[in-house]
Amino acid sequence: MSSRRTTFNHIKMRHFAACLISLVTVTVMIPGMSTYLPLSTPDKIGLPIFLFLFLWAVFFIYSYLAKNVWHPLLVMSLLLVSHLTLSILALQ
Amino acid sequence: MKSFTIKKLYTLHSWVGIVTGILLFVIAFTGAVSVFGRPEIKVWANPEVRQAAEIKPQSLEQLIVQHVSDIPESFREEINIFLPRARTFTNLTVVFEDHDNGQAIVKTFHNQSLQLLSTRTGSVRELFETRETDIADFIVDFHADLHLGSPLGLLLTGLLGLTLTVSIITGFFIHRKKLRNLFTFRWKKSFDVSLADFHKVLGVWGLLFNGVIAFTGAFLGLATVILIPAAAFVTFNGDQEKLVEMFVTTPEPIMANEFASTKVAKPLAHAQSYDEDMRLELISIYGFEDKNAKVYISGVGSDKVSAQTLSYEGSSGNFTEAFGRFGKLEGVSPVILDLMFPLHFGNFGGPLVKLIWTLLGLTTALLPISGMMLWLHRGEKSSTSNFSASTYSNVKRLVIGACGGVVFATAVLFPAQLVAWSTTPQLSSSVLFGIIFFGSWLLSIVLAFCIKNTGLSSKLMAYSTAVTLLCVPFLNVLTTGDDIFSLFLLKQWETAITDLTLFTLGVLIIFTTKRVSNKSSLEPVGNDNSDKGIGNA
Amino acid sequence: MLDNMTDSMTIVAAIIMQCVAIWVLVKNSQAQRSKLRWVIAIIATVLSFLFFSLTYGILAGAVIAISMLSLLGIAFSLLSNSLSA
Repeated sequence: MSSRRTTFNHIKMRHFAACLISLVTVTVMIPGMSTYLPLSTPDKIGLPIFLFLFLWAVFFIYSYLAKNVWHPLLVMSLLLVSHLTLSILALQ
Repeated sequence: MKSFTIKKLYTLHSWVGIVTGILLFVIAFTGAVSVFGRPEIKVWANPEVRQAAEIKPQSLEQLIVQHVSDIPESFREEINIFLPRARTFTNLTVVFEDHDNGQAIVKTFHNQSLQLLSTRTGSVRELFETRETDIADFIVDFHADLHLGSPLGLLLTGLLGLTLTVSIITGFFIHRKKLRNLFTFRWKKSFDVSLADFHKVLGVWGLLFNGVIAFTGAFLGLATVILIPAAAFVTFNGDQEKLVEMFVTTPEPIMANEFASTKVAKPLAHAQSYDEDMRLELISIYGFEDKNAKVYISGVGSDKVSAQTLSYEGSSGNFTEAFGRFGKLEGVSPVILDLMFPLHFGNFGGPLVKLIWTLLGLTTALLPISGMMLWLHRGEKSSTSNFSASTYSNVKRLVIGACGGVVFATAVLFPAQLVAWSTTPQLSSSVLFGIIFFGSWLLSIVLAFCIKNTGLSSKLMAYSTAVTLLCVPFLNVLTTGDDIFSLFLLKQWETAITDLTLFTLGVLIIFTTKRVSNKSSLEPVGNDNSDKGIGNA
Repeated sequence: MLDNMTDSMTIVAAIIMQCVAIWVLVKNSQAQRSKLRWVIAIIATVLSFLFFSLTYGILAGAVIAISMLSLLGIAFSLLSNSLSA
């Protein structure tokens, strides 16, 4: 595993960000995005679903490529919290 | 792009490939077989329906009217007629549904004589789950959820679609000389150079296909597990059924509670001539013998790529419109949704498209295996390997056992299907296929670990698969009496071509195994390091 | 769209066009690149798409043309090199 250690720092944190946080973030983004997308109802539901697949891949790769592991974590946390808030507000 | 970023992408590409490679091979290989699962392999697997039968519209209408009179009125709410040899059912099957009580009556008819073969009653889910399965159902279901069911199986296959997307994106950026890679295959160079070229040729040429399969596969796997529940969370307060209803473009009519006979023959006759390329699969009737009854006939293979539904007024039988499954909704998403299914299944353009999808599906399966072999080969030869020789050896055995094993296990299912059909075994067909498939697979893995020489175990597995496939046409003669020549004469194309394909595959496997093992034995001792691949990342 | 016989012939013509396109590209990758070969490859690819579209319709024709091109590309790359080696 020495190669990976030299290529990626904070590898456990990166695994955590890439495998778990990214999946949770994009899942929460599906209902969150439907609250503000200015589209027809089928597109409001459909487009976040289709974007899910690409966004997950982007977050996954970004979690490993970012110089500092906190960058992807911060970006994803912000997206997670904002979309969760939007979803809860929409429900209320 | 900076070289350090490329190095990171290399490492990511290789690790994603190593972690998911075996599973990706298994899913891609069974997917490639599944393309011809329904109806071709299904027809082959059920000798009683090998002869094509054309159901006359008038006879079908008489049949429905006759059987509707025998069942309670509540079961007329929805009647689904599954046309024979089209998809899930080999015999003509009619499902009468009572929505209020969630019950259904399933009647199966002989395709030629239209005589009633069986009647089953129960909940729709129960009836679907307890239906008799054959080799086609077994392989298709295994490809969909690895027989682990929902949510675990679907989640696994869906996530695999996502990781394939990651492999495609990282692979795209690390192989910068794509045009050169398109035609470079140095067959005469060392094993790892040939393998690296092979991996790149498959990857670059198959880029679009693999991208589409990854995207659609991830969607199909995750739709019911993550995507639909998440999408319904806000828009429909978590009510998934309401969300699904919004996308359904074949709504049930509001009943007039006024009698009017429902036409089945007229819509069917119209649908048969509407588009000659379209293969009709299902007739759905809502509110049978009500003035407001609706008839929907759906099929695949039209010029529109997506499955098409033809809509008719039940009382007059007049055609009203044709649309895609989601095509009546506004926006881009319904269009993408409509394309999702045919692009994954390859069922929109007849046998030629199915053949292309199967062959490209096999190249998708070969991608992870060539990548893993490359990583193993380079790791074993490198003096600065990250792992011990025994680790590489064990992974190699696992790759050979698991990947070669699933091919062997799939091949074994074909003779097993014929024997099961002719002997009426005590066990249910799904349990029997499960024991045979997983047993052969496990045996292959155990053998790969027991035989010291990995070359020998690979050859053994390849030859066993080849011999099994070569036996199928002969076993078909013994069990059903159908030989290839008479099958062609009787125009039983599905069966004849399946037999011929399996035999040809057997011959090809023997030929390729011989050629590859000759090449391995002539492999030069020197190592060509001109092309560094994922193993050195 | 067309009758069966014409359908089959159009499909065969489309596949031949794709073979020509890929063969020309193979030559371009092996020998010195020439503009003429690129032009032939593009014309042959467009023709193959047209032929497929005649049989399957525009959308299905385009999808089939792209997937067939991928498949033939793999086959030509592997065969042309291994047979010539």
